[in-house]
Amino acid sequence: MQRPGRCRCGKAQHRTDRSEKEERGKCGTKAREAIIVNDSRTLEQRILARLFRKIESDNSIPRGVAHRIRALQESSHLKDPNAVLKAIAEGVRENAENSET
Amino acid sequence: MPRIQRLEVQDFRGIKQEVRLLFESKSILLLGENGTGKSSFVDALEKLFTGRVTTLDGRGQGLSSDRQGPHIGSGDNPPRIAVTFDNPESTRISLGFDVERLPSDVREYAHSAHENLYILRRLQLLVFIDCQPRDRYAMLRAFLPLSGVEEIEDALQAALERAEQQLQEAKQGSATFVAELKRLLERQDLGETLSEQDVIGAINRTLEDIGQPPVDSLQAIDGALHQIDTSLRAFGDRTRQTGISNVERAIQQFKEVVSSLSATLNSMASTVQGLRNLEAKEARVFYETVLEQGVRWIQEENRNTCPLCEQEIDSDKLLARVRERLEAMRQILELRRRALQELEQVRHQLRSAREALARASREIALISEEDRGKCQEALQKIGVATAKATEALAADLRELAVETIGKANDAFRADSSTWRRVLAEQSRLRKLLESLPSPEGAQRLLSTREKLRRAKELWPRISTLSGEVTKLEQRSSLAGKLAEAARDARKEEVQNIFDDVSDDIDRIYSELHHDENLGGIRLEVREVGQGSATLRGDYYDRQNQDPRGYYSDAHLDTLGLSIFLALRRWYRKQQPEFDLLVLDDVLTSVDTAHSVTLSQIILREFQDYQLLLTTHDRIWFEHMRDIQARCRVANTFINKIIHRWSIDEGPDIREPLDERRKINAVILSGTPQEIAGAAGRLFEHILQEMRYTLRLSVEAKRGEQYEIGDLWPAFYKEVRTTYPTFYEQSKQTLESLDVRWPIRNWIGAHFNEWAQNVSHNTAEGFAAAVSSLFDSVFCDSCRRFIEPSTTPLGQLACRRGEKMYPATHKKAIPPRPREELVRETQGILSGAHLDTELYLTLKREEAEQEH
Repeated sequence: MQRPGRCRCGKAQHRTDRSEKEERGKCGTKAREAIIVNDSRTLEQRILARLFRKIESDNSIPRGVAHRIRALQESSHLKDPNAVLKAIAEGVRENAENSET
Repeated sequence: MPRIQRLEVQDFRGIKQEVRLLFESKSILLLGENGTGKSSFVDALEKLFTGRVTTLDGRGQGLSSDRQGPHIGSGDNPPRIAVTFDNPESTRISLGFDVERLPSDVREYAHSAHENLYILRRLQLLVFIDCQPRDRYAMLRAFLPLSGVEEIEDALQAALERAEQQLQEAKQGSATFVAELKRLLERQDLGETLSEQDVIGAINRTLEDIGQPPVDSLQAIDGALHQIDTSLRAFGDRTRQTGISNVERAIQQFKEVVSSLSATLNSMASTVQGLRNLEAKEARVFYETVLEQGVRWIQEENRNTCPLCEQEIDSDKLLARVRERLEAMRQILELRRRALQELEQVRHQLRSAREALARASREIALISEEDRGKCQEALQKIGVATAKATEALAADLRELAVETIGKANDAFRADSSTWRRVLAEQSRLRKLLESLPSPEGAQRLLSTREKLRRAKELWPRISTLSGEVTKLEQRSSLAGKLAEAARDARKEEVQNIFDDVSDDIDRIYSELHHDENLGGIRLEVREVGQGSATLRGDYYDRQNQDPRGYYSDAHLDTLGLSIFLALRRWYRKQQPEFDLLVLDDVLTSVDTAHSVTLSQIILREFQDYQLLLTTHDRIWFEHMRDIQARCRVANTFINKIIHRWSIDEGPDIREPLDERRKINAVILSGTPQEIAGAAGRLFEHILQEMRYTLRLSVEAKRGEQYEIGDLWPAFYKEVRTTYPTFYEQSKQTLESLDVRWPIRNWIGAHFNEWAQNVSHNTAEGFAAAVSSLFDSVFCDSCRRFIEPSTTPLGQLACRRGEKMYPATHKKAIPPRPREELVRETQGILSGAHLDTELYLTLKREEAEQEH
């Protein structure tokens, strides 16, 4: 007997047949497992990548600030609150200077 | 990827004398009855790698692996635990090892093994299922390497808090200066933010009062001051009056600041008192976010169980109570916000007071000693009180006591001697001014000049702070966005992981219970407050249920195991170099069919792990041995049996070769009893092994506890009938043992007075026969017992074919690797055709013949 399983998108209300082993659930959402398996980055790397995606796609955050925050991460200084504040201040200043010119 | 070569334990838990558990880089299946020291090996591994033993250190009530870990008879001898790896350096680590000094591969291994996410004991099976959602989340959290990310998140949050604090301070500073300027220019009607035009307008009104021309900018104040000085010259030399007037005004300013400071301190004392009272009342019940989320869940999901503790609830009553708590908390937050604001205000007022005092001191130095009187002393004393108050109020609000606030205010009360002296001096200066010839016009000019001078000082500060506030607002907003982005990024990734793990749990569980209407296991993580995780499953047509409400104990056991296995698989993805998995006697309530399925799942899903599986269940042990072959992992497993255990010796898990050597030693110096005992142990070991390899038919016995008396006849009969070559070659030994084996029971295993006279020679004869049998069935080079070959049937051989007993009238053929056989026979049946009709006809004839 084939047991109905959970939809690959993870939601209980979208149920699908396990035997089909389909990439997509009935709701059409891409299987989450596939996303995880194909991603060889560590959890920390994935979270940071997601963080920078969010920061860089947010139009209300000046580009200079986003760049500096990324640079802080690359130089392992993102764990220092003062460095973060400095990066924000410098990024805002740079943004103001650029918009003036 | 290093693997464990051997584990050595001494003086720890149930192990007194040194015992070596030889992994030889393979997995181990360990059978032993209850209380024979199986878990001591598991505890030893955990203690070595993590420094603790969950079953001791995690239980509280005075239990600890440091206290209860050492063997009770070890005296002052510390426990000795060591693991040797199979890396090129054969690295050996023992208790208290320095991880940084290890070769890189073993160091990685040790780092990964530091968190116990790979050992599951029977006791822990239901822990995950039968706990509060927040504890469940905490357990899941241990699997997530989030510490680095959390540090970043904390740093971004700290940056936000600092930015907000700086903004608050700048706002407060600006407000204080604005208030002073408005008071100075007598324009209280102006708003909280002043424009340059507001200030110019107010100044022009003052100038108009004394008949001076207006100014068009604040830079023109210098010109207006010069104009006032020119007008003052008409009143003659006013130096003495000006000096005394300046001192009096400075004291007046200080007085005004102190007056508002005192009022703020009184208000703050009352706010902090209220805050402390409410905090003390609500301290134990408040978790704002949890409560708010709880209300949302209960309302939106029409729950009749608590989302936090999963107990039945009366939702109306609970909601009313939660709202009450939330209201109390809102009051706390409001009081805290107000207290913080007042504290900032007080600090600024103190700063202004100190500045006014400094100004007064400077002005005092400019007047004559006679006019000065006791003014300087009075100001010094109040200056000391102001400094003390500043110091006392520098503490964080959380540490600020109501008494401290009251004490800070003491010096500024109207009835305090310090304050009375300041007021007396101000009064004296006023009288002195009145006694000096000074027309009213000159006084007004002097007063206006002072106002303009101060306004000129204040405006740049206000304007700088205003720009600063704008910058800080932007900085604070950006810091908030960064902190929020970090929080959201973590939550989303963690949620993905838990969904992934849920899928794996459900997959394993559904496979285990494939023909039952159970499953749909789902781990729902809600990162609210401290985080919580709920567990849901389906039961027939009831979906999304708490499994505890419907599943049997055995189903909950397997659910607990499925969750652990899914988490272990997930952790392996993060730490691919770490492959250890320890399951300590975890299957007790599961029936045979499920335990077989589960064994297959374990051996299939974890075939590339190094496993340590312990059990007290002989039936499961046997199933596992069969399944090893079926899953083609027999070559990667070592199956061991703990024969017995004693408090002084610990588990008896000696290797067969060691037992063989011991017989040689004991023959030279031992008593007949010792010789028979040692030979008996090896004899039993041989027969137990032969029972599996030759699939001996033994009469079933409760508890599967077969002894020599049960095994020997079956073995003897089997080799005589099925393996004649072996029988012929070992005939003398076998016949000797057929007569002598009871010696082991007479003198080796029991005390029988009537058997005390058994001679050394008799015991030696028994031992020699056992040794000879061992030499016949055990291969020294592959360190394995002989076993029946698949081709040809009737042949006994060791794995490498160095010890072989061919089938009758057949040539000895060394066993070949299975892969080779499969390759050779591939496609052999490709042309075969099955005739169903012919098969059925034959079957029918067979049945008729039977009738």
